[in-house]
Amino acid sequence: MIEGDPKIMWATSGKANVSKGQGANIQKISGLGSSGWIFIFPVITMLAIFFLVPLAGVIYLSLTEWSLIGSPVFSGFSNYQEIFANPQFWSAVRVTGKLSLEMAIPGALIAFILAIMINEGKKTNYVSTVLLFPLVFPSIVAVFIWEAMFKGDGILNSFFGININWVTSSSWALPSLVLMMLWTNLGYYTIIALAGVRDLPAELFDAASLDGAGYFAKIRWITIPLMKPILLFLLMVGTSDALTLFIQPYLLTGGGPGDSTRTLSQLIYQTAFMYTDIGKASAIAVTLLLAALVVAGLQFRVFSKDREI
Amino acid sequence: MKKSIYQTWGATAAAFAMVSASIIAGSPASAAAKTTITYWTHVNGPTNVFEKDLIAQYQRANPTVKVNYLPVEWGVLPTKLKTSIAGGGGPDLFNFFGGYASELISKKMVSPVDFSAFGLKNGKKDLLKNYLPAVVNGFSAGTTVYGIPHEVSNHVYWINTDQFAAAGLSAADYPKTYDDVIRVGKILQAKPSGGLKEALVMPQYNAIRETLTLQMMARQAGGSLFSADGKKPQLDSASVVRALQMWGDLANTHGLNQPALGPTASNYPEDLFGAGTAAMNNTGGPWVVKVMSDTYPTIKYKVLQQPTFKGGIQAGGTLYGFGLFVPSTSKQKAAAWKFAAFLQSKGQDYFDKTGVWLGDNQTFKSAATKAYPSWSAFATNFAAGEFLPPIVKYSELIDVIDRAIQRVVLEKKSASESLAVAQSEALLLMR
Repeated sequence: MIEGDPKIMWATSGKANVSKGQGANIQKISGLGSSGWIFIFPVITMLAIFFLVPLAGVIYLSLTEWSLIGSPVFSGFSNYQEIFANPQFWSAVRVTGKLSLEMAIPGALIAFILAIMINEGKKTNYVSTVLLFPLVFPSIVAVFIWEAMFKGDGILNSFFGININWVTSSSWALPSLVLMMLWTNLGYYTIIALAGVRDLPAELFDAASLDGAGYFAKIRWITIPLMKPILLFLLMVGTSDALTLFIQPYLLTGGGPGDSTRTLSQLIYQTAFMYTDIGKASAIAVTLLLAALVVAGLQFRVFSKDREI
Repeated sequence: MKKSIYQTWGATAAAFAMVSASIIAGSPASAAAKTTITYWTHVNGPTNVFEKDLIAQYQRANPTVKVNYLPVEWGVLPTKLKTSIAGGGGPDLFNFFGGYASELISKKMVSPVDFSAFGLKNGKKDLLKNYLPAVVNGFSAGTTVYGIPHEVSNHVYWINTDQFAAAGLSAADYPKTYDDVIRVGKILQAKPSGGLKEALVMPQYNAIRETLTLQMMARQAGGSLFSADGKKPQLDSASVVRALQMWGDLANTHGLNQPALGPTASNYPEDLFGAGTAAMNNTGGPWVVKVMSDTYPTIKYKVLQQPTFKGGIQAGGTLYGFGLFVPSTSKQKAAAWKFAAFLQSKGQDYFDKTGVWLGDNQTFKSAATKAYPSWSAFATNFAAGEFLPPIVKYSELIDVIDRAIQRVVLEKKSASESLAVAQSEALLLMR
């Protein structure tokens, strides 16, 4: 090791160490050689083109009035004022929030339970295949299937001898949507959870057994703590799915009855492309992004404590 | 060795170039450059088949013109059209619902009509000789006309005469008022007569049809959804509340309309009527006759005037129209208007083959039209009916009305409560 070599000091201390009087040299500060920058340059370029530039564009458009014809006209924060004063926006926030909770938490929990059961059962490949089956269907096909099931004289009401207005009642429309989404996504969540369960070190369970720990004690004190990163991932994926949900409510309920299933994504689409009000749609999109960042941050905070065994 | 390879490749390239040149020179397509027009319209089985024939005729008569024809499902057409025009693409000519005309004009998405293509030397003045003034004005901004009427229709009241007879109802029972509708509807649904699940199908998941229906009912009650100039909403007026409350009562109090049975996003009220799910239907004009004969040939029906409120006026259905428009982004405006003029010249053929009336006076008054099935019922309804006034924020306002209807019909709220919310939303949009 050469004393004072910036690259080595970065690697060992994790901090930048720039000599006084010397100009900042990004390569030396970061510890990356030119070859490192060459390797990550394509990714940074892709990130900039497909994420940062569109993000900057949306933020700019949210401060303008634009109906897709002609040029955007700067209007300050008027779009934000209007959307925050619009009851339909707050209704979409509530629907999206409810969807996030009702899709992410039950999805992660059920996937976790199924993963444990599958791991201990036989013929796991067959069970995994059946669980992944819904993922094979394109979203539109799945919606048509569930539309037939949810009809007044459809399969669910006929088979169970009940008379529920699954998608034409504001009390049932959102739960029906959640049911459909859980059916669609559960297989994917379970496979991820199963991979996590199978990766748990067997010796810990053996040691626990030797110490006299029961089945549920092992789950409580070994499985759950070690599965925290997987559960966090499932929650984040579930929340992300809910925050960006569009196709299913658009096709199944159109956002109705009333606004009972109108998500923020739907409101963005409706405002941008049906009403051609790009400024307002961008303002809603920026608000949704900020909300998603806050939720992700909270999830990280809750699950970021070190694993303790 | 190298020299011979270069010679071989060189000879091959030269031969290829000579063959290609001779093919291109000999091709008839190279003789004159083709103008391609893209024409979008909404899906309507019989009309789409007929228009394909018309296009084939036009292309034979105009060999340098090619028309790309695209019928688009109505549910996606407004969004697809507006975003493609905004993106600089889209069709050169499109057939679109007239209610959107004010919105398209205000957003500069459409071009003024090229009257020379239609042989109309005096522009709008000559156009008004051929069409109903209300129709032409619906496609205009002041003296400038932006669309040529391409279909005018109305909503009449259809009943399934076989189902009426099976329930023991005769012609004397055919409903004239909403009280009649409720009475016969309950008989139609009563178990001993083999019980229909739904006596009356109403529009659903279709903000345009719902708005036309509510406007019709509001006019029957003596009012209107908007002021005559289309600038003020009147959604919480007594007549509109009475109309929407009746709609809600038909579904929830009397159980005659079952929203859970549809229509859904993928079918229409005439599908439920044609399939026998419901015995009464209040949507659709003359074009539905052809749809019934093509798709549901065994159904026996009668066309009646819209029911009224007891003691109310017979206001007819709400008239509506489609128009031919050329987007401001089209690079083939002249060719597009010329093709539009060709389509417009076929008014009688359109009506005879598809039941679609283009709105022209000539077809309306012809002997052939008068021989059309149920024409007297349609004509009476046309005479009493009115168009919605022109509304600039049409897309947003029909969604406001759609949500108000859903709150009453699906969420079972009161009409006055629902329409108070709708009125405040509409006032914000129309200020």
